[in-house]
Amino acid sequence: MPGFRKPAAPPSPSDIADRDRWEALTNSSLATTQAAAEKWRAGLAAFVTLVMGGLLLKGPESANNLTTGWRAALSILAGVGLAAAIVGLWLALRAAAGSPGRVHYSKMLTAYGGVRQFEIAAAAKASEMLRWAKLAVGAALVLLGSAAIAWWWAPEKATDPPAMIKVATANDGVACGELLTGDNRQLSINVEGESEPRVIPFNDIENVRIVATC
Amino acid sequence: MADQSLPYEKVAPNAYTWTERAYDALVAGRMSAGIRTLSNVSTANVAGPCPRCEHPVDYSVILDVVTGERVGTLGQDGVDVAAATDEYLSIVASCRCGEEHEGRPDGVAHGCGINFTIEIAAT
Repeated sequence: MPGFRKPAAPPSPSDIADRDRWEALTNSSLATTQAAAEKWRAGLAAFVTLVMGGLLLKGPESANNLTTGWRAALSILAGVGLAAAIVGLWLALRAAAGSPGRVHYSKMLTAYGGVRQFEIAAAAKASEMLRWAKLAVGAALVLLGSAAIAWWWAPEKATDPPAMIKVATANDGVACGELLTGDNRQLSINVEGESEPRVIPFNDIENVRIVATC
Repeated sequence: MADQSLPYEKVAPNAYTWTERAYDALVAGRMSAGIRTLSNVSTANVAGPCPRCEHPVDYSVILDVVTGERVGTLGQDGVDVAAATDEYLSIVASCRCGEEHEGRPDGVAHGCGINFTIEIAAT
């Protein structure tokens, strides 16, 4: 195939207008990319904030009520998600703000062929970083969202129900409260309103009933 | 021979004559054109005497840009460059010589006013 071909027609005014628009695009590549990256960075940060809000809705202290298995699973989801969000937002920030550094003119010419080409290569790099940022934050949103939803539905650690009993004693007394102990031939009951547990010897007991409430 | 006396072309800036002359200069080796890729950025370059005023012209157009929307975003990521350009890349070049040409409009710093097309192999 020959290196050149004779064009069938001269350039039309629309060809020239297109060429001029293309040149304008080459001149604005870096600024356009960094402006877009800045908007993406703000948007991605807002998404992360939104999903993190779902995690905080129940309050971090309520995680103590979860079983060890669920806590471990949620910790992994939230931890990896948070790490991905940090990486993604860092990349988006890098794409938006660039990374100022010294460039030697002749090295730049050797590597890129010209200043405009250098700017386009920088814009392409920023665009690539933004692409990775979107992927990382997307993964973070999935992980953090999964953690939040899983937390809402995670079963809480089973707690021992209080053993409420009503004790009738020989002297027609009645004590109702939470059974604390039954050692040494005596019952120890935590009666509401009393600062110390009430101790009732077995010998004084006529009747014991388990009750739901006192 | 470069013609300093030629006024800025306003009557037929896109005449086919300039395209034909540029092609003849390419075939004769008086003008060069090619595509160079450095760091994944391709640049087409046309260099040689202007087809009209014969002043030296060094015209380049960068073939890659970064825009707000990728071609892929618009569903055209699979477009083959060679096929899209019929294996030849059409470059609209302009005379951007640095010499004076009478009648050059305000705000235009270079050239004698003509535009021409060259077609170079895309690969």
